[in-house]
Amino acid sequence: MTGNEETFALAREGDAEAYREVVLAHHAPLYRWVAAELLDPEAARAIVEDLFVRGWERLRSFPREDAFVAWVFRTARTLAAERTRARRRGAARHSASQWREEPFNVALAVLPEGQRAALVLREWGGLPYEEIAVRLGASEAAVRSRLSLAREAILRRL
Amino acid sequence: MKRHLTLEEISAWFDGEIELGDPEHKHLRECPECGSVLDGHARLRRLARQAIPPVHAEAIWKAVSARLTPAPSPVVDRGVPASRALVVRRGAEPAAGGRRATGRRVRVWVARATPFLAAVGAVAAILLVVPRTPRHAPPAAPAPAPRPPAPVTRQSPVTAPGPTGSASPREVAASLRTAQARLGRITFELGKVTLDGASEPALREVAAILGRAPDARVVVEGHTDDTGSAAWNMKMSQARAEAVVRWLVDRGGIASRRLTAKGRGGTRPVADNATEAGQAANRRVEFSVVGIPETGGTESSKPVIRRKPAVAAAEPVHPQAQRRSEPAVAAVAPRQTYTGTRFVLSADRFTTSGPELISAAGHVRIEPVTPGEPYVAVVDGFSRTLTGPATGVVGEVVNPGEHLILHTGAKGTPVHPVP
Repeated sequence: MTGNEETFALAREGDAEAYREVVLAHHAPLYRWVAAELLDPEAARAIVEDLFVRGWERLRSFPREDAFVAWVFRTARTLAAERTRARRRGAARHSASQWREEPFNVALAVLPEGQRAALVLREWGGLPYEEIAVRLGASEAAVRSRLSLAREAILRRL
Repeated sequence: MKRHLTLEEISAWFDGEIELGDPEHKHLRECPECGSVLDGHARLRRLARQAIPPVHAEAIWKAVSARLTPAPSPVVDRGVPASRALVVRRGAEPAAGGRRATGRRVRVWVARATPFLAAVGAVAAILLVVPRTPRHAPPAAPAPAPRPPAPVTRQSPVTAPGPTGSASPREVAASLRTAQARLGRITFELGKVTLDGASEPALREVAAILGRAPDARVVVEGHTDDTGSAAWNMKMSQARAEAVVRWLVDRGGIASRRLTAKGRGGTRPVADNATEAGQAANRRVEFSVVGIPETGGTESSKPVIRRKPAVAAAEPVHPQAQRRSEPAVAAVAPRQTYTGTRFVLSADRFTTSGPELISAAGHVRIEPVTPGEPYVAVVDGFSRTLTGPATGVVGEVVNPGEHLILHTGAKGTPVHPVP
């Protein structure tokens, strides 16, 4: 979170500078999460940009920043899933085969989705448990549990 | 390469004391070579950083901002001139991407290529508003003979004639009304509360008029259209009204005690907000001259807040009110002294045993609206709602520049003239 509801309120009113702060506060964990989902940095970046553009258009429908953040991550998950399905159908190209073969990414890719998301947000995004819970729409206890399982699984593979 | 940490470092990291072997921290284990602590998660974090390349924050923002054409909210009132704004209304063509326009939501498309192009404010026609006179003049006293005006011992600053050669508030009102067409618009810098240079002639004119009437008190009211959130509009209109007051004080030489800034947001439209012309008319700054002497019968555009008449039959009526009932009420007229059970009213004075209003003595103007109904008055440009002795005399500031609603007697029983 930007930790500043006033900034978010200004962004809601059309202040682009305030929205810049919102974007800078959330882009990194979002990008890393989508990147981990898709194992494709270029596609992840395109999705993140799309999301923030769409978020700007509907910013006024979010009363608070956490509602906006939850929407962004929820939509990111949907878009990433759509992209994965399209890839399977052959409608979308995977742009980073080398990246996919990275051992860590291979280990990450086999994790269940919830565990992967929790792990990425925690280890890459450095987010506290409660913020991860907001983004994943899960309880804090569930986040801790997923993290624990994910760490065990991934360290076992590496 | 694994990083070796001390247990203290690990404890600081987790913001607490950590013990090896704790099931919650299975990732921590002792290094078999040096005995320090190995953090499995540190390794995980390092691997993750290596695996996925970071993205540059500014690069993301640059790409996003280049596409931020539709604003999340209308910002017309913050100074975006209509020429730079495409307003999409209900039933209009959907916005880019096929998203439908929701409800009465307005989308303003601001050219992001020119986000820092300044100013050309929206805003503000100068309208003159004088306080409303009573809708119903009091009946021409069929009952007791009209009382001669009470001797006025203390003139209200706003109703008293000014010093020799100065204009009265009514003349000020007339001057402003006459000058209205010449005053032009008061505009602000884009999205700011800073007056732009083009407003100076209008402000100088206002200052000159007010300078000729040193006793006139003025409420500067900022108004917006209905786009944007109500809270934002209120904040913006208040700030802009204050900016006008600051200019008049600092550069116009007007005493600050004569000026009150009040933001009204979009609550008092003078035109239909459904059209751009209406919205433009609603974005305005008004100068309201308070304290114009009551002459009765003339209609002004200033709204009067009124309360329901007292339900006298159902309520216990004070003995004094019983003694002086309807005929006395009918005799109510401005500039006359009345005695309630606990207070004395006159056109220019208001004293009461209630503590809240004693300080207002000398600055109250009583305007009878309709016999049996509450009285309306102005207290130093501040509006107060008053209730009578049955519940104690209570003053409540409603809005600066509005009218005082005076409930007198037991639960609204009117005040009665002194015999």
